Amino acid sequence: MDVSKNEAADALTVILRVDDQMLTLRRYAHLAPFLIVWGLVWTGANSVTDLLPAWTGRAWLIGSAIGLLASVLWGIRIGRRSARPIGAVRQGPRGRSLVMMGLVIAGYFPAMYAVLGPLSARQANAFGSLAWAFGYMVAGAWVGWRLFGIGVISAAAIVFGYLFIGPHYYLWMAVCGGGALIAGGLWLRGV
Amino acid sequence: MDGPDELIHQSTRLKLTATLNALHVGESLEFARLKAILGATDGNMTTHLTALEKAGYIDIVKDFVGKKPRTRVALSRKGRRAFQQHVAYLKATIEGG
Repeated sequence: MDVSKNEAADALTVILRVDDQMLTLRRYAHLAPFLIVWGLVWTGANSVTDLLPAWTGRAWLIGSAIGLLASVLWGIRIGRRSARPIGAVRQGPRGRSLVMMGLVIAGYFPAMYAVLGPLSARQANAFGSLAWAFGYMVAGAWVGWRLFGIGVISAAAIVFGYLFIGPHYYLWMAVCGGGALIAGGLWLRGV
Repeated sequence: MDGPDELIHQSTRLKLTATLNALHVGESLEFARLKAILGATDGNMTTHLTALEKAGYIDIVKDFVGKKPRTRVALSRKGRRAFQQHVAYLKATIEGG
């Protein structure tokens, strides 16, 4: 059996394409738990904000701490598991990068709120939520269109809720914002 | 340099082995997921998996999750080596070796 240069190039192109597809699927599998955890935090904290306003601060503090801890632990676990598969052409995502990305995002919010000055609770909520949604879009531009889509849907839900949902804005955010993340995470896990 | 691996070079089997090669050692893929990734039919998949299994290139494990049957496929050590040698051959061919 002889393989011409063109046939060899075609075969290598196929292999690279498969490798890219598998890398994308691996990234989705790694990111899915982050989305689910933060979706749960978002749903829980927004629900408390709407139903038990006096507990708002504590709910977000506890929720964020749980989300951050879960994210760091998951990032460490991914880091241990994502040694390069033998023979793989491309490099998989590294847990350390994901943890660093999480810390950058975590640092972004206090900095931005300090610069923006006093905001209403609703504005602060929408701003923080939108930053996450657009973050998913930026990450999606690198990782894959599914993550980008989750960001678009989340952002649209936030803007719609902020502009058109009246007194139960936080409940809207709990169901639609948090729900979009949870559903998105489950979706990514299944692909 | 060895020649091409005729078994791996066939289009569907090339995709199949490339997919399994992208997994970590010891990782496997479920038949249904592999089929979805490759966009292949049940019959087509079975034919190619059987050929690769006969050559010792893949390991197929069948078990049950509850009452549901599950088939998992992984590249064997021999299969991984054969795939890497085939990729090396393709690269050498392009470079005019």
